Amino acid sequence: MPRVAMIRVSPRRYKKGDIVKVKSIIMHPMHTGLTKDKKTGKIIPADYINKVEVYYGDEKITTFDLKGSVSANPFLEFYIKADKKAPLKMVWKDITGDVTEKTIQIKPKG
Amino acid sequence: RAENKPKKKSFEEAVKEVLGVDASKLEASSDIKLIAPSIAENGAVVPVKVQVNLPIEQVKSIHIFATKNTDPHTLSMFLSPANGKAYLSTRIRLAKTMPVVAVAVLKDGRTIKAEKPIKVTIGGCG
Amino acid sequence: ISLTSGDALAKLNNMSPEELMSFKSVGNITLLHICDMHAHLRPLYWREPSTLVSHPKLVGKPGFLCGEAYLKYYDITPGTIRAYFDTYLDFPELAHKYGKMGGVAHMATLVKQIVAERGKDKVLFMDSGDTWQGTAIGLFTKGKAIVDAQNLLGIDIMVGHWEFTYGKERVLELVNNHLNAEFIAQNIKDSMWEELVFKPYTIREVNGVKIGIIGNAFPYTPIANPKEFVKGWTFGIQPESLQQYVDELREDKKVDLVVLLSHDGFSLDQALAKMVNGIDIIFSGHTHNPAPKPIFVNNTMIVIAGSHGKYLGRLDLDVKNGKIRKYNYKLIPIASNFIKPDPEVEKFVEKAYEPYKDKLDQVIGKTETLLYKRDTFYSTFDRLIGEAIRDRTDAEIVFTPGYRWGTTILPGQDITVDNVYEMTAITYPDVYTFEMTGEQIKMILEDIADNAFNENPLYQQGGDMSRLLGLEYEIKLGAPRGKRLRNIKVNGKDLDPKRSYVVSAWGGNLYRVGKNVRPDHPPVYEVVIDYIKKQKIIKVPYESNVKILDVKCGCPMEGGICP
Ligand SMILES: [Mn+2]
Ligand SMILES: [Mn+2]
Repeated sequence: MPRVAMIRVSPRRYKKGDIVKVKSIIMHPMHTGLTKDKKTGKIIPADYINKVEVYYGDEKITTFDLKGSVSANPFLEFYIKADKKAPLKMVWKDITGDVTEKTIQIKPKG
Repeated sequence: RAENKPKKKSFEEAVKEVLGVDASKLEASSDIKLIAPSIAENGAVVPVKVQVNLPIEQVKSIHIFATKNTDPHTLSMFLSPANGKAYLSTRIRLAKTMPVVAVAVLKDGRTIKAEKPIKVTIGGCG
Repeated sequence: ISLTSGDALAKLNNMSPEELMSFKSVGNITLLHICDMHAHLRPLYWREPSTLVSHPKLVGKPGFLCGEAYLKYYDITPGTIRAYFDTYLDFPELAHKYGKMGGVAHMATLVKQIVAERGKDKVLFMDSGDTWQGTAIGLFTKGKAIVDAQNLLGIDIMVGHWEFTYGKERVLELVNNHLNAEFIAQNIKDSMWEELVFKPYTIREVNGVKIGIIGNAFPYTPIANPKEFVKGWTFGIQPESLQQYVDELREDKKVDLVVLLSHDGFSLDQALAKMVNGIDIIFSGHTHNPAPKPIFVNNTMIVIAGSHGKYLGRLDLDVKNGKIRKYNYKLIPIASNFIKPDPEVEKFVEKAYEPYKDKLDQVIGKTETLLYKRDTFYSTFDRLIGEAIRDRTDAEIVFTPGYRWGTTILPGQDITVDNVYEMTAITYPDVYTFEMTGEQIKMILEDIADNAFNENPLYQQGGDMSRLLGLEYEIKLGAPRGKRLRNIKVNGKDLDPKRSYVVSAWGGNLYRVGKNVRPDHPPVYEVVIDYIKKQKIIKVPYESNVKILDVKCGCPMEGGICP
C-alpha cells in the first residue's frame, strides 16, 4: 500500500548549478518490533522503511539504509546539485514489501 | 516475521557489521560535525544533522549510531558527487540517555567520527 | 523631577533619590532591558534566594551568587537599598524601611525620563521574556493586560518562555494582533519541516547605529513545561544556526552591533558566548539573577536584569565603525517609594484590575512566618502549599515545582487571594494524586537533581530543585548523575524501593509516571486559598528538609568556602 510522501526544495528559486536543499517526509509508523500494543499487550511486529533511493534524471544519486530506530514518519534532508532540468524521484521501501514513490521537477533558472 | 525482531547489539558489534572496521579504528575529526540537542525534547523524535566539511568527491557514506539502542545502527546514507554537499538531517529514536556517533567513510579508506551525548529526561519544572 | 523629593526614608539611608537613580550617560545610544517580570504590574516584595547552589565547579560564580557572597563579589554595602534589592539579608527589616519593588507605573516614569533625556531615536527597549505569566491579572486576561503594559512601556523587541504556556495559538494571537514589540526567535521551528516560526532576528537603526538583534526563546520550553502547549514546534539551544545568523548579520547585512536577546539563563549564556563568536552583547533572562555589573566572556558582554519588574537595565554605548568604544551599565532598582508613578500607566493598571479587584484584594489570612519562594531546595511558601495539598489529599509525599517566580509576604502581613495567585498562576494548575514506588521516586529525584546541578550549563534545564513535603534527603551536588541523593526518608522511615507511596503533585508531568491517578484534580490556587482561610494564622518552619553534603552553606563563595 503506497503511503503519503512529500518532498520540498529550498530555496524556491535557484540557478543551474546551485546546491539546493531537499526535504522529504513519508507517513510511516516505523514499528521496531520491540514495542507492545498498549491495548492488547502483544508485541507489534517489525514494520519499517529500510531503503530509500533518490533518482535525479536517469541517475540514482543517493541511497539510504534505515533501521526501525529512525523516528516515525521518517524525515530526510539532503542536498543535490541542480545542474539540469530533470525529475527528482524518491522511492521508499519497507520490510513488508510496500513501495512508495514521489516525483518532483527540478527546474533551475538560466 | 520473527527474524525481523532486532537482537541486542553493542555499538562495537554494530560498527563492525555495518562498516567492516573495528570501532577503535574510527578517528575523531573536526572534518565531521554532528549537530544534535544536548537534551532531547522527546526521545522518540531527536533531530540529528551530520555535516562533512570535505569536498563531496572525497565522501562515500555517512552513518548514524545510537550507541545504546537495542540495534545501535540507525541510518546509512550513500552519497555521490550529484549531492553537491556531504550533509544529512533526520530524526531518530533514543531509548535513553546515550552518546550518538556519526561516521563518515571517505574515498581514501579513512573512517572519521563525531560524537555527542544526548540526554533523555522526563523534565517537568519551569 | 519625577522623583518624590526630600523623602525622609531616602535621607535615612544617606542616599538621595537622585543618587539612587543617577546615571552618567555615555556615547550615542541607550539600550534598555527587562527580563522575567512575571506579569507583576503592581509593586511587590520579592526576596532574592537564601540558598543558591549548583555543581561545586559553578559555586560562587555569577549566576550562583547570593547573600554575603553576592555583596562581596559586587562590592555592595550591607543594609543599603542596593543590598535590599539584591539579597535576602535582613529582608523583613529592610522591606519596612525601603518599601515595595517594581510596578510598571513606576518603571514607566524612569523609561519616560530616559527617553526624554536621550531622545526617542537613541533608545531601544528589549524584553527577555517570562513577562506575560505569574499573576492573576496575567492568567485571567491570558496575557493581554501584560501586553498592554508592554505597549505602554514601549518595549521594542521580546523573546519568550512562560508566554508559551498560554498555548501557541494565544501567543500568535497576542503577537500578531496586540503586541507592538517584535517577537523574535531563531530557535523555534515547526517540528515537521523544521522551518522558522518567528523572525530569527531584526535589524534596528538607533541614532545611525545599525543593530542586529537575534532572539533565543527558552531552549527547553517543551521539557520544562507541558509540551502540549507548543505541539508541533521544536526549540533547543541551536548554537550552530545562531553562529550562522551572527555571520549573516556581520558579513551580508553589515551591522555595527550584534545583540542576542535571550531567555537561555545566565549560565547557559556564558557557555554559549564561548561557543559562538561575534556576539557583542547578550541580554539574558530566565534565571532571575540581578547582576549590577556586566560580565565578559570571549569578547561578549553579558547582562541580566533580575526579575519581577524589580529592575530596569540601562546600557549606554558609544559605538563607532562597528566598535564599542565606551559603555556604562546600571541595574536601576525600581524602588517604588522613591519614584512617582507615571499617571497614565497608573490609571491603566487600576483599570486593568477593576474587574478582579474585589476577588483579588480579599484578605484570607495573616502570616507569622516570612513567606518566600527562592532557595535551591526549600522555601516557606512552598512548604505552605505542600501542607495545603496534604490537608486536602491522602498523600504521604507532596511535590511542588521549583519555579523561580512568586512573591514574598512579610511576617505580620495579611495574605490576599492575589498573593496566592502570585505563587500559583499557571495554565495547568491541577493537583494530581497517584501512586509511585520508592524506586521511581528516587529515580525521578535524581533526574530532577541532574537537571538542576549538572556541571555543564548546557544540561541545566530546570528551575530550583522540586520541593518535597513528607520526604527528607541528603545530597552531594558534585556526585555523578544518578548518585547524588542518599539517606532518603519518608515521614521518618527509610524510603522502601519496593513499596508504593501516595504522592500529590502539581505543575509538572510527574503524574504521568504514576499509577492509580485519583479522579479529583482541584486547581492548586483553590486548595491553597481554602487552607489559608481555614488556618487564619500561618506559621511554617524555616528549616529545610534537605541536607547538602559537599557545599557548606546557603550562599557559598567560589570554591565552596563559607564567608
Ligand atoms: Mn522567569
Ligand atoms: Mn524562564
